[in-house]
Amino acid sequence: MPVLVHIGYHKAASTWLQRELFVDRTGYRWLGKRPRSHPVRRIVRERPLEFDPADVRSAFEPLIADAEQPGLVPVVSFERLSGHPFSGGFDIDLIGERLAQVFPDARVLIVVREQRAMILSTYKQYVQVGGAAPLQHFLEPPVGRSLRVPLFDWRYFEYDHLVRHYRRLFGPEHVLTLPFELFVRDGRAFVQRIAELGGRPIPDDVLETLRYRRRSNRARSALTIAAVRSLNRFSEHTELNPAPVAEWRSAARLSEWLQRTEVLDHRLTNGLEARSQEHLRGAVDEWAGDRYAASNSRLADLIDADLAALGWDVAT
Amino acid sequence: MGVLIHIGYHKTGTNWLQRRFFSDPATGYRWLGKRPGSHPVRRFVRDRPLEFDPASVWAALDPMIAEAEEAGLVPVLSLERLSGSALSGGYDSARIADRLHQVFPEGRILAVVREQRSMVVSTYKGYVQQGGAAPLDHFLEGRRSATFRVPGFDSAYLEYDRLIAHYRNLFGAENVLALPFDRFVEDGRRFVERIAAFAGRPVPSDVLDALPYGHRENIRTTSTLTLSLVRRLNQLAPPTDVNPAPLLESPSVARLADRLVRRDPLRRKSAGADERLRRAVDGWAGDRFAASNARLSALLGIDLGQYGWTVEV
Repeated sequence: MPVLVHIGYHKAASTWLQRELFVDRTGYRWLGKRPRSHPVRRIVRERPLEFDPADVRSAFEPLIADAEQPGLVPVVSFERLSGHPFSGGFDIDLIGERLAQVFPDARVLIVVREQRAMILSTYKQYVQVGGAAPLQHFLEPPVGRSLRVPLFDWRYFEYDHLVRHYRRLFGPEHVLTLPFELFVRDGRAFVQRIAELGGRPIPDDVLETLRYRRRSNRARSALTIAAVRSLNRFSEHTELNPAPVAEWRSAARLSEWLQRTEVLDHRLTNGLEARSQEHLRGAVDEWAGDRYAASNSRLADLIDADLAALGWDVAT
Repeated sequence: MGVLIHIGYHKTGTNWLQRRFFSDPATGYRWLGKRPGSHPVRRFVRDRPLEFDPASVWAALDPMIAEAEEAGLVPVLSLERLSGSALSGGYDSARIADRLHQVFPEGRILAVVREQRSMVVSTYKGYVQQGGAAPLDHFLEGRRSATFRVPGFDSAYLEYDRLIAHYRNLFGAENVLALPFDRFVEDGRRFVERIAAFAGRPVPSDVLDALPYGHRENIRTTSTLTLSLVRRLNQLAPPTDVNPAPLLESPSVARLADRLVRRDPLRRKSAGADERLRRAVDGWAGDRFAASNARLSALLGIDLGQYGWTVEV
């Protein structure tokens, strides 16, 4: 039974798919991503000259066998497999090649999302996990001539390059690319398309009971994000903020508390929140302009989808 | 005539080779340069993963190669970044090797390596000079997420045997020459002769005699004490790729930091700090490179232990 590999993207229903769809009662079983030593992470983390596909495959074998024994389709699902936006997808090609070495017969699912919404959500996530740069610097990071450290790169969201790469590696008929907006509009149709790719249709009664509206990882408000970003300058260092001015545990705790309680999202601050959110959205819109229109047009042709009808910017 | 490709590493006499050896027509070699920022050699590094087009890069380099060959000189592609960057753990070292092989399948590869402890001291100092603000321990062992979001320093980058073996696989063992930097320090003339013999164009004796082996480019390193001040100032200077979110973004602070680096006012008082830095790096390194160095010694047929490298016996 071919493995279904879902590579992300981030911020495109990955958690929903992992927790709501790839569960035993649908006929699919997610092979997980925890603990840190899980073999799916080896596809990302192992150094270029040390990756051993046979060894990784053998680490997966017991998990795959566990799924296949009760007749379930094994699903490798990990949003990091599509690269990481914080570092411009520096390893997207390599990960695709590694997946093809480990799972040559796989069916591949890619979920893409309109860029402006995607980038706004990505920036909020960046701050939530420790980033301290303001939006403008996040979007246009300082780049040395020799590109020493890969940071955000807008071209990461030109999805057509990656889709084409996977089609070359696995064959066009084995790669399904779906827009996230289809999930929002018609979750059932979205799931049915995935089940067609996986080769295991989901019974109607199961389709009816799936919780299409359930959302996890809800983005924090713009106001909370602004406060957390300021605190990140004084919190423990991370790979996103390697040298904060100070490392105060109290700042880290306050940041966690603000995010957990969302105390800043009060009806008294509604107006301020709306203005902050509008400001962020407007800044991303203006920055994006029509930079993705040509790529989106190529993607629409490639996957035969009317992306413009879903609110994407598509060159005509 | 084959192209000689010199991939670095950083901090191994690269500038000397580029300016004194490969840029002197009397030696019989011509460096194809690396400036401006749009120079095609940078495309091996900068082109995005799925957008590298070997034919187009070849076409961009071809006129430069033809010009060198017309003048009867061996064309030399030399850019230290081709071996990766220590600041991001050499995340693209292997990819760059593959790209070089796609464009120059007949190329000859020169790599110069350097003992890791002195390399790390030099790399960390360079990091601060370029805007870095993390203390040494965070630089060496920074916190990493489970998803490897952004690559940082990684000691495995300095396990040279892996990359050298990869180049030998790609280009053939006889087309890859790796030399320890110590050989250059020990006997510059012999070092140059060895490279020239490998590249197939010996350098005339009188030219070898005249090369300024004692001249060091970028040799003056700023003292540790001055750099500890600069590191703190970097928190207030404009962002760089190694410090993307400083507290302030003051160009005047950046100018002050730059002036400090150049004038090094604390040099005379820095002996203790220099020693502490060296000791900290020694303690961190321990014997973590010993096994790799033993493999490298065997690969190169050179006893690296004689130059003070830690080598597993």
